[in-house]
Amino acid sequence: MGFWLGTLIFLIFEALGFGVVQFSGKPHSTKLLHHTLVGSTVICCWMMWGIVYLSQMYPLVHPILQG
Amino acid sequence: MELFRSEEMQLCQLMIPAEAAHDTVAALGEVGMLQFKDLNADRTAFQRTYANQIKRCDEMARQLRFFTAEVEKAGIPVAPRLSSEQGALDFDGLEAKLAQLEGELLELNGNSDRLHRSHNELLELQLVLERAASFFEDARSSADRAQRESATAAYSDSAVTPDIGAPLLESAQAFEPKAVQLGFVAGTIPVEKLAPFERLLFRATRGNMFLKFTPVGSVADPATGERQEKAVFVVFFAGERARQKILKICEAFSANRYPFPDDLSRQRQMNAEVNGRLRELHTTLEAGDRLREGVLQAIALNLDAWSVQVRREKGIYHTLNKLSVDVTRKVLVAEAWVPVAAKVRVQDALRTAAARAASPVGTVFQPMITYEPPPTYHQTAKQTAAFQDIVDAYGIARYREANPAVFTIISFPFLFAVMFGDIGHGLLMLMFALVLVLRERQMAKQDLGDILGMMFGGRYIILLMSLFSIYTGLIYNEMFSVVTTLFGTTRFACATNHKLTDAVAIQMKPELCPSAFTTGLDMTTPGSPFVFGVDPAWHGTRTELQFLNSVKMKMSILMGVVQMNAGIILSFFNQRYFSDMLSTVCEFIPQMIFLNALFGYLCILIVMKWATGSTADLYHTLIYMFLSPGDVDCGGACPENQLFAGQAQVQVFLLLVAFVAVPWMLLPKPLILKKRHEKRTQQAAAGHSRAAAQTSGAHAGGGHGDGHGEEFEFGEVMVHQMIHTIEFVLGAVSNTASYLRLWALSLAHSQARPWPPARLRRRRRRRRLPRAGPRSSAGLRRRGLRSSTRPFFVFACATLGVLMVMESLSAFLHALRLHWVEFQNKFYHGDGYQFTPFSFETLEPL
Repeated sequence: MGFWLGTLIFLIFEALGFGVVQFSGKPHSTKLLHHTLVGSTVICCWMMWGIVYLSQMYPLVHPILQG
Repeated sequence: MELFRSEEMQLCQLMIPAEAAHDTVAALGEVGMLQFKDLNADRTAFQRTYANQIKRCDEMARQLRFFTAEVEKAGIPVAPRLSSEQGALDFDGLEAKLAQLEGELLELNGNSDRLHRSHNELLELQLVLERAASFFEDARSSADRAQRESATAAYSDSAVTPDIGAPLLESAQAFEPKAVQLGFVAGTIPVEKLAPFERLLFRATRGNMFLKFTPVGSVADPATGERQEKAVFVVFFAGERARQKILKICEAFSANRYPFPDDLSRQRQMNAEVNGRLRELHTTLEAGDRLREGVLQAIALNLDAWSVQVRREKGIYHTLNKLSVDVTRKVLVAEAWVPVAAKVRVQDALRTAAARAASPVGTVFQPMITYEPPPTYHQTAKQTAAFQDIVDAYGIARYREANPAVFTIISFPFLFAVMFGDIGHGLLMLMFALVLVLRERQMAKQDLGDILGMMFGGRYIILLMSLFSIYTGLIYNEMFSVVTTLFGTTRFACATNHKLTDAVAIQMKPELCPSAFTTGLDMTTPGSPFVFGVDPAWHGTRTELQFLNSVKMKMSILMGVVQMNAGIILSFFNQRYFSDMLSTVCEFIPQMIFLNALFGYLCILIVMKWATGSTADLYHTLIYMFLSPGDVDCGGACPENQLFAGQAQVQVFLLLVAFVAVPWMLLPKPLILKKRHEKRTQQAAAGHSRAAAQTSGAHAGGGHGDGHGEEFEFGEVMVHQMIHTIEFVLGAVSNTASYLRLWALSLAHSQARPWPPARLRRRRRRRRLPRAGPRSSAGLRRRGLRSSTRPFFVFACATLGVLMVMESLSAFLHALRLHWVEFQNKFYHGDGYQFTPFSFETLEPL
């Protein structure tokens, strides 16, 4: 559940970025480049977050304090 | 998409009327969008039409360099170019002007050198007159004294005076009746040569001489004009032969001799003369220097404009030399690559140039048909240029193939940051990048040196790297290797008492929760972990490394497989663009199948394992997928390895398709190419024109052996395909393994802790221990603390610096490799050549 919520937040970021680029008034080809940049940024960041989130959902090892 | 494919190019022919050629090429250089082909490649530089003009340009460049050196020596600032319009002089005018100025300057220099030399000579002469006169004065007075003494102590032993100068003169007076003429030579000599000089004189005259000298400090040498430590000397000798010898020795030691009259009155007269001439020379010299400075200042004012003009002229004539001259000598023919988008600008420039030259015919500008591969031209902005450079350093893209730089802009800094994840280090780097970016106007004009210049060139890369490092630092939850709690509190608590979440509190009072030290803390909310990044509870625990290892290793594989898939998909874009359906079917599809059947499946298993909390051993699963297909749970011995129903069947299927994909990659493509070739040759034999095939193929050029009229060697194509296949199959394994460097470097980065407060605390605690002992005192404790803190601070700063530089460098290199090898070898040919237009802006300095 939390994973999908987080994914939704990243999707919202992507939508924001898409909007900013779309209404930036740059030429079409530049917009395409910027869409690619925004998209790949969001994908990279989402992947990183998702991997770390998923890996902690059901931890097989537990934090054992040093003492 | 901008930057995704290189600009469309066209080969154009220009027919330029000979009388307007120079101005037309100048106008084209202003536009800077044409890459001229060398049509005289078979001729040497001397045989070309405009070799003479280039020689003249070189001569002018030499003169300008001479002026620059002179102006710099005089310490006059060179005025920057006042306006963009080049000086009012034309080529011949400039040449004449430069030659005249050079002659003038050379004459002035010669005069000034001569005057300086005689000035220095006079100065030395003055010194010699003063010092040598004082020798004689001393000698005379001591001789008088000795005479008086000898008169009183009539030839007693005490006549031997301590002054070594006196007896010689005395004896000379004493034996005056003898016919021996005592002569002397006076002059100056560098101090360091004095000792060998004296030794040689002594030997040459068999000791029959006397050298008297006195150092006079630093004096300008007349011959070289440099200041030297010198001494004035006088050599006394007897006889004409000794004189000849001594003169020769003086010459050999470059000792300057000066006339020195015996007579005291003549000495005085000479001294006065010298003084007068020195005064005169001084005023002459000053006037000369003023004149020279005036000339140099006039030169400095125009120097920049002139060098720009000469540089342009040279560029123009070099370009003109690439043009072929029509037999009638009325038209120059040029062939040049031009971006299609810039054609309008070129045509405008040609029109205005023709109008200005007022020649009866304008330049003809028409496209040509060619089978040559066009140059690659990516139009970059200042932000994207550095990323394009990263890709170009590996290889220039083939004409209009997909440009990896588009994706590198984000994925490169991201992969860097995976290895360099730390908020604090990211912030430091961000500050550095911001300094470079915000001050780029000023810094672009300065000469920054090698290393800083390189960093300045990559300032936007550094900026993105730092931003991503901050992001990954947030994910890793590390700030200077210290844990943060920016995103709430931990989801772990004591297994027996869920209210106890503070690890420090438990560590202080271990009796509250003994299980935390044996079985560990318990997750309070399974399935709903720490919202963003690594849970702070892991920090400093015994199992931290175990956990991070597992996560980072799997993360590397996931990211690697995603990036490699992206690379293969890009190869599909290339194939579609070049309408190479054969490669799509015979390369792209089996490649996707092979990679994803093995490593894509592994990624799915990893995610499933995480999402379900299964304890399956993925190593085991993957290895036994090959060793005993169809058996997932070791025949019932390890049921936890079964992640989903029907896993055994799925694995068998995946294994089968992966095996099928290998011959699929290898065999069909060369065979089909061979069949196509046979068909074509049959058609040609049947008398069909090949023009149709050529025009359809002019756009593509992809696919092996698709060339025009090229020999089709089946063996070669087959070997090529075999290499490709083997490379891909082995690469799928080795490249995936290569992505594990992400894990290794990020682990190394987080382990190299320059600022470990935990360790410091531990050390303090250990130091505090002896306080309980009987011998400890407050002073000892304080001294111990201070002595531990200061070196520690120095050590911390040093390691931080090393960490920032070395770690970022190594992370940079590894990210570079991952892009060049693992990503780009999936689709990037990189065998194109760079578009290098003739442009006034990129002319090399003189």
